[in-house]
Amino acid sequence: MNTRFGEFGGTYISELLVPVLQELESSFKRARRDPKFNSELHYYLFEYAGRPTALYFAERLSKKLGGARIYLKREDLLHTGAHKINNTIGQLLLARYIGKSRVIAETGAGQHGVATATAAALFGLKCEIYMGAEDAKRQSLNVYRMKLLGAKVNIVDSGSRTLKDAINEALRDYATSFKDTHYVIGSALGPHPYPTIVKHFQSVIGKEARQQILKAEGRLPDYIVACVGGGSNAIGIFSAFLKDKGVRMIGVEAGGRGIRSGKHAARLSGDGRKGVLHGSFSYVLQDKYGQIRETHSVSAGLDYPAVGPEHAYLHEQRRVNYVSVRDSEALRGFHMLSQVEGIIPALESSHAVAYLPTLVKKCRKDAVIIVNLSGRGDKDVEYVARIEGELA
Amino acid sequence: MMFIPYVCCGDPDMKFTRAMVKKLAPYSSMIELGIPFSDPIADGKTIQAAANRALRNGANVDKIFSMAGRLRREGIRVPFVFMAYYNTAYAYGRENFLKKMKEVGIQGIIVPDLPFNEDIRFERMARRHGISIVNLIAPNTSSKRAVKILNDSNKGNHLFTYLVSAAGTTGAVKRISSSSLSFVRRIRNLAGKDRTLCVGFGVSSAEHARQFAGAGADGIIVGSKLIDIYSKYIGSGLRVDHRALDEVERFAADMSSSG
Repeated sequence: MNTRFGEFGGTYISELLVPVLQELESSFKRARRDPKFNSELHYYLFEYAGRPTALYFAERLSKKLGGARIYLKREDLLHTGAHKINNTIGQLLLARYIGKSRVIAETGAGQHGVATATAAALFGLKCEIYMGAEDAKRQSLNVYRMKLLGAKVNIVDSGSRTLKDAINEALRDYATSFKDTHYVIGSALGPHPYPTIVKHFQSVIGKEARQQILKAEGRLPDYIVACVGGGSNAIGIFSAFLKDKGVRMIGVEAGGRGIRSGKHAARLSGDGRKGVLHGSFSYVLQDKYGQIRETHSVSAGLDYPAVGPEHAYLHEQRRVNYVSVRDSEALRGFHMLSQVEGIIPALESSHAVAYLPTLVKKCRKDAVIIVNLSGRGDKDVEYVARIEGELA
Repeated sequence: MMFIPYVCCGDPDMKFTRAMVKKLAPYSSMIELGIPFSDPIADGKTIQAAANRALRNGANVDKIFSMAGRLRREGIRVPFVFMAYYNTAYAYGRENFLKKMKEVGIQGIIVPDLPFNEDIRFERMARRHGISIVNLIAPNTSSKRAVKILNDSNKGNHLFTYLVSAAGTTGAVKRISSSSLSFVRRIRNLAGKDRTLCVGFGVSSAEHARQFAGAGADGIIVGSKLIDIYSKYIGSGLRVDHRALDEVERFAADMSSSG
């Protein structure tokens, strides 16, 4: 198995985890060829999580933007409200397959934590979630949700007290507890084999979308748009189309308050530089001395200083075009989709939606666009109401 | 028994680190200069807190290089080894980083997030610059891989091989487990007599040093315990007084006479 995507990826990790990750790789290789493992995965994705998700033709949105035929891949309709469950069901089955009795995970806004706690409850494994103190304050309801599902939530008080610090703490736990514990990384990042494992479990999005668009339009799409935090929903949908030269792909990063403000999470489309964070070589927001910078985005799920290594590779290959959308534009996308289609998107997915007006202006009238609607916005409603002054 | 103290450079400021290195030098076989990093995944709470204090107080690689150079000019001859996360060297420019190390007299580097053979180009680069990469072996490293690592350590200017005493992160522990000791014995058997093996992670007392010496180690690395000793003197203004240095010296004297 390739440990890198071009020069990106690799296993920049403590020696303690080297044998652990090698074992994980060989178990994963066995599992994905095991018919019993695959039929179980299929069963839970379809009977429990709610697959397949619709590829919905957003007619009113298409009309409003004045051109193009826009489809939404409705990952927001999945159990727990986002694509995250595809990965957690896969990884929990993998944990059980290799005989681990406990799982740990990091979470930013809480989506991955909730999805991990959910799958852990489903399969009867012990579960501990690491969450930055700052994030836990902003998303207290998700902290309770995880506890309700039987998980222990560890609040992380170090560093910037956000997602990156939660990952640090989860990696430290893993380096201590690997004998009985599997670390469920929530995005297509971290040391090899994680980016490949997460892509594998998320690739169901692209496989479905490809069949669905061929059925609906009789042809492949011209564009695919997805938001990119770590990049798991994006790689999940992109992966099925990478070999199709005519399909152009756009990854939307968090522009925060603008690239020049320094308060953003635009690694590929902003001022990230090559470097290593959390076990893999990729593009990283860092200062002159290689210290990791603090990031900002209205959307916690995109608020991360590094990007999955395969995205760094696709960026350098110019296979995917990475752009950024600011907080204010993302909020406009949030409102637009809610009003025009009756779908409240997650703030992460709102970034992809918010790029549509720009894209539609550039493309042909009959262009076909798929937007990966990675999650629903219920979790963000209170937060947005607060920043818009609707709530005290 | 070699005593190798780890100092977190710039904690709480560069001046204190320089003074502490001078105090430690007579008792140390080698000194590990830790470069503080914002996201030290191999480190426990003590070194994390030290790194944070150092970074808040403006520590950076340039200042650490000039401190090392100055100590050399002041006649401190004890070998220096860097302990740096990979991104620190990468961001500086790896060639420049290694060149600068050679220039100021830092003999080797421990990169806790760069396992053996993960980045062969960097390993070659270091060899070319005459810098020794100190490889790590952990209790769960297979004997086959351990032998490969030990053999590689034979090439070029080998300083020592770093044995990670137990699963987990850095940080003082009270008791050394029997599995840590049998791990050291296993690696000593694989290594033969000639290789230098030093044990770190959790080592915090002269008693630990004696136990590891009994299991076949040549030296011990002590970091968090030293930080515990001086950090209790750090006031809110991050100023340190000479009492901290005196207590550090007493500890170093005790450790260096342990074997």
